Amino acid sequence: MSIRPTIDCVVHPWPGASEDIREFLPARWDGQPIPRIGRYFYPPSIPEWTPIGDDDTRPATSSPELLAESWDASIGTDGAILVPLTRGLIPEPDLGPAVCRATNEWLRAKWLDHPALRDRVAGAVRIDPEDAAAAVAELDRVAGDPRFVTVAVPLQGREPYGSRRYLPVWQKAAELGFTVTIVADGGCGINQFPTMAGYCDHYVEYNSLLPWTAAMVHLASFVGGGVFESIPGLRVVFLDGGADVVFPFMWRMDKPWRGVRYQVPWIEKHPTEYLVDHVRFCVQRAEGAALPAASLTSLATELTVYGSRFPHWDAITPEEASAGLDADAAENLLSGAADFYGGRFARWAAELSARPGLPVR
Amino acid sequence: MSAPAGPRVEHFDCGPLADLEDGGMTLVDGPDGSVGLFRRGDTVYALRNWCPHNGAPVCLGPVTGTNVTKGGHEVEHVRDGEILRCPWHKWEFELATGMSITQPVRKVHSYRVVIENDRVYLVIRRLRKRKNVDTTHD
Repeated sequence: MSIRPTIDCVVHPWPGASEDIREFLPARWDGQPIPRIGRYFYPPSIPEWTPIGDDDTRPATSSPELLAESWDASIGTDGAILVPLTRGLIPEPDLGPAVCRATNEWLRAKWLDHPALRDRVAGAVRIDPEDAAAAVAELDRVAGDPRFVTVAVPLQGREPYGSRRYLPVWQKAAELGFTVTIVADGGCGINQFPTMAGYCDHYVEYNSLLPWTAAMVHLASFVGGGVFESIPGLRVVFLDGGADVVFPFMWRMDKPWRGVRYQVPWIEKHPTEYLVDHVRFCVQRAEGAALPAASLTSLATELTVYGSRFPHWDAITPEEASAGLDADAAENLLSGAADFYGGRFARWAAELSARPGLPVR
Repeated sequence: MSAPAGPRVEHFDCGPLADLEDGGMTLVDGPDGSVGLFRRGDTVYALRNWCPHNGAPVCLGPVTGTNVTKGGHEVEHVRDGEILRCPWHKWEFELATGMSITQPVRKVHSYRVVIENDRVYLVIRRLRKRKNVDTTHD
């Protein structure tokens, strides 16, 4: 049996300094502070990002060399998708696309080209979907570089992502063979409410509510807006999880569908039926080590891809994520993402070399 | 002598055609519970008054058209007068067949109707070894 490479779908490369992307930003923003990445309203009481060590509190992926040196211990897979953060919603309309473009150039120059990493990493191209024209232009701009294999957009949009104004962005992504990934990303202070009912008080509330509720809002919007019907090739991955709650949620969409489809006749099947062709979720520690026996149904396991989210504090290792799975399911979780992502991701994954003995067991 | 093969066919008498309001719906007590008779000129559609979804009195719902996509978000209103909408959860069924317009198809039980000597009959096809139908939910 041939061995497929194991792939970590989410690793966050960290800028060594907050303003690392400055050199890639146009001069018109010289002198204007750029918000820091990775800062939502709610910090946990432990370091949110795994530090390099006791003596160095910078996040553990603060340089390509650090990531390469600690790869076997911290990542462990044959390949990884580097998903840089961009501060989420940025208020200044031109700055959002500019930060995304600068981040892409930073990723390409510092990480994707790095001799210690380039044979095992690929990148997520960051776009700001709030400016659809700029996002489409950025996708066209980077499309010639096969090392960009997915698209990443913030978990919070100014509107849910099924809104029609985002359609050209998803259309272009699908056309170019990019899977759209949605990742928790903030830092500018104009994030949406973390819950539908208002601000919560503590990290534990924020962390257990925001990621999946926001994912479900986008999912409902994609279905309700007919996006999956309009763009049959669109594939979406929620990098902050939600497989554990998606079926109860979708059940609530399935139940009234036959009665309310009159308003949305482009929905031509039960909403749940869109999942298998269009949607995946990254594993999460909340769904974590007991996956799938305790928290995921077998159907939900089929909608799951592996991504560590390293160096986030609750990053999950391949061993933890596959614990309790039978051999086929574990292999599919750690090596099967390309089957869903397809397109550019699959072409990149096909070139990766698998190292026998790592970590599927 | 053994019984003839195939279902046994009965005609259930629903009364004079003239008693049915043209364009309206008339409920009658049918052989297996309440039946809605929808007269449209010389045609009568007969549907069991029981929604296959949750057992609602489906025939009490409005008869309307429906909306379909002409591709993407372009919507057309079609089939006016052909769609029966359940009063409880608004499922849509074809008046003429009882079939849901959504997949997978769920069907309101329908009866073939014959009109003889200006009287309306439901055609009832009984299996020889027919189990009793529980009509308590009607």
